[in-house]
Amino acid sequence: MLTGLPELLEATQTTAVASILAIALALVIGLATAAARQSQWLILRKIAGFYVSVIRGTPLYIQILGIYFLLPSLGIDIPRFATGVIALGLNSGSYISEMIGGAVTSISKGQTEAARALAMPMSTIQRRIILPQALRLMLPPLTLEFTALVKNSAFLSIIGVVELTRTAQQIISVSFQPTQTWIAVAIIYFVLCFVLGLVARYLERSFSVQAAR
Amino acid sequence: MEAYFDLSVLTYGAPIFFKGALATITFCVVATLFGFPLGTLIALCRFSKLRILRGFALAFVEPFRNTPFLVQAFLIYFGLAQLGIRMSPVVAGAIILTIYSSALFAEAIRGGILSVPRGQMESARAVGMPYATAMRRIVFPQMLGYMAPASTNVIITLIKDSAALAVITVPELAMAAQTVMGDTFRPVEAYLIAAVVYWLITTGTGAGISYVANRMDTLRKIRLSQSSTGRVGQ
Amino acid sequence: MSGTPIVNLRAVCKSFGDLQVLKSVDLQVKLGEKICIVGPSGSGKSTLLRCINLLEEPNSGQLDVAGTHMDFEPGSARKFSEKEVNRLRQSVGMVFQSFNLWNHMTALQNVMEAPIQIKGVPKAQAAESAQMLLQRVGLGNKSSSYPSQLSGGQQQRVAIARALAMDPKIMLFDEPTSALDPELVGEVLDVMEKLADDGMTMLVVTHEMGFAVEVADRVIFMDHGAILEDCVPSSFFHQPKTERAKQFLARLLGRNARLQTPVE
Repeated sequence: MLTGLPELLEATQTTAVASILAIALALVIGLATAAARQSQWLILRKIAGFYVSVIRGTPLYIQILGIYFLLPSLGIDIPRFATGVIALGLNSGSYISEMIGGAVTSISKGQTEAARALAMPMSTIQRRIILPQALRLMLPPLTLEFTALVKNSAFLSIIGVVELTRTAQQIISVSFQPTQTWIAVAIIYFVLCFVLGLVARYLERSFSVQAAR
Repeated sequence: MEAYFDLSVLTYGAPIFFKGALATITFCVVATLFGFPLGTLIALCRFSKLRILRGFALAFVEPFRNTPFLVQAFLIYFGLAQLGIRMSPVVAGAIILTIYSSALFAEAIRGGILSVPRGQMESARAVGMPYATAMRRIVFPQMLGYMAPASTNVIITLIKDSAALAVITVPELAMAAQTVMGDTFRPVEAYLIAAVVYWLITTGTGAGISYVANRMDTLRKIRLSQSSTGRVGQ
Repeated sequence: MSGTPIVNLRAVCKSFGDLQVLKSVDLQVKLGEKICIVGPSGSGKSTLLRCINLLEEPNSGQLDVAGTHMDFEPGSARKFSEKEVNRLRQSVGMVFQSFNLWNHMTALQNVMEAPIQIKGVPKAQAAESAQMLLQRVGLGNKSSSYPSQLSGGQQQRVAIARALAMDPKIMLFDEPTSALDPELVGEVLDVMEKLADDGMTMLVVTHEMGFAVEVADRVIFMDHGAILEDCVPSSFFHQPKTERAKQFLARLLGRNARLQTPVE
């Protein structure tokens, strides 16, 4: 049997926890950013746009290392795990904000017009008409974003967070079985992501059935 | 570490970053030039009548889509080394990125082929065109128009993900940042500069591709017709 | 010459999963005949057309089309080659409900493409005959327009020219005017009528009863995957034999009667 398999499975939990915390953070950041991009204040729109452009235009690898080195120089001293979750959340948040923006604009027009014709106030329209539909539209791509996050969490290894990838490196440094270990790690990631992908596809199908009714 | 930006890192690191940026661009150009045709072949396999070809294409694409690029790089680089195949980081980096890009392009091309309306292929077959001719003459030229945004995405993903090649010491832009950091002991500046250079490359690439795509005649025609077929077909 | 069957279907069956769309259909079409196929939606009309040029492969039955004979035995692997299918399709032109013009090509290129690619016709010659065909459908001045720049009616006329470019022995029309705005239906029907006058063998799935009355030699009424009536238009419209045909006509005419009576 492969040396270190129990350790790998344990480390999978760290990967899972980091991913879950990061997606939660990313949702908050994503919503806030999407709201900021619709804001009346130019400065908020500019800041949100800048954040999205920077995150989408640079590698996560650089973002994680940058934040890792930046925080202490600003006098902020937090555990590596927290740094990693923040970096992942910041990264994913920009993609989620785009998703939210896309979903909202894709339903807005006719739906809003119909609601306004019934004299609904704008806040009610947002809450009762647009958000429920946007969420429904977004759930499949959000699940896929979660898949991407699980894969991206491998980058936490470069700042020394002992998750799946880092654990594999540690195991290899004593067992000298890189091929077997990396294949095992790849299989674990594959199972996680593949299952999430199936969930996304299932959600997409069940929603399109509902919408067709 | 003090919280100010040390400009000397920029002057010291400029040539290193420049070389690194050139290397990143070269790696991505190579990966695109080889990955696109390979990806086309794999995408065509997905539409094959032969089950074995469809299975092969799925078995190729899915592992790349569902595992971290970092792990792929480790597995290919150290795995092959364990099997006695030793490559320089440059060669390994180019090969790893090319295989990865062929998997990404395969998915983008599959999406492109699927977005060409079914009737286009059907009407070609109805006049007696063989499948291969219909693919080459009718589906493929239109697919290129539909998949321009997806291809841009793939190329930008390649640029960004190629940074992970630094972990197997491939000399590219992220590695350059690491070198500058080691020489100057100023990590924040080093990675900030790298981030700016990456941002310039990715936004430049995005703008460049959409400029070219907008100028291409056929692409414009297809886009026109996309908006005009609202009433037609089920 | 007329009297030779160009299409002969015997006991053709076709199912999609559990749904049996064609239930042992027999049909003979003689050279030069113009036949309209009518019936409620889902009755198998389109599938019948699509079986004739093998866009759908029958599950069982026999097929003779333009000199090619094909036997479909349930469960057995197909015995004919891709080449034979392509040869058959070359002598059968098809016009689709949604036109399906190739979006990246001009009208002229759409018409030239198949002769060049399949028959190896030299480009200049293909262009010349394509231009003539476009003139024949009244679009000689639109040869350099892309589909997106043409109206639905114009697109459908180009599609007819494209099918004619292969010099087919028979033309299949699958609801050629159903996707058109009402004011554009006429120009397409006019082209089809002219084609009929020129002696083309035509099989037309349509809801245009006026066209059926004026042009068709025979009207075929289909329902639930079977041919229920097969007779001259006047007797179909005036004395339908089956109950279902009566209901179909009543519904159709009842709706139209308020505006006009399409059947004299």
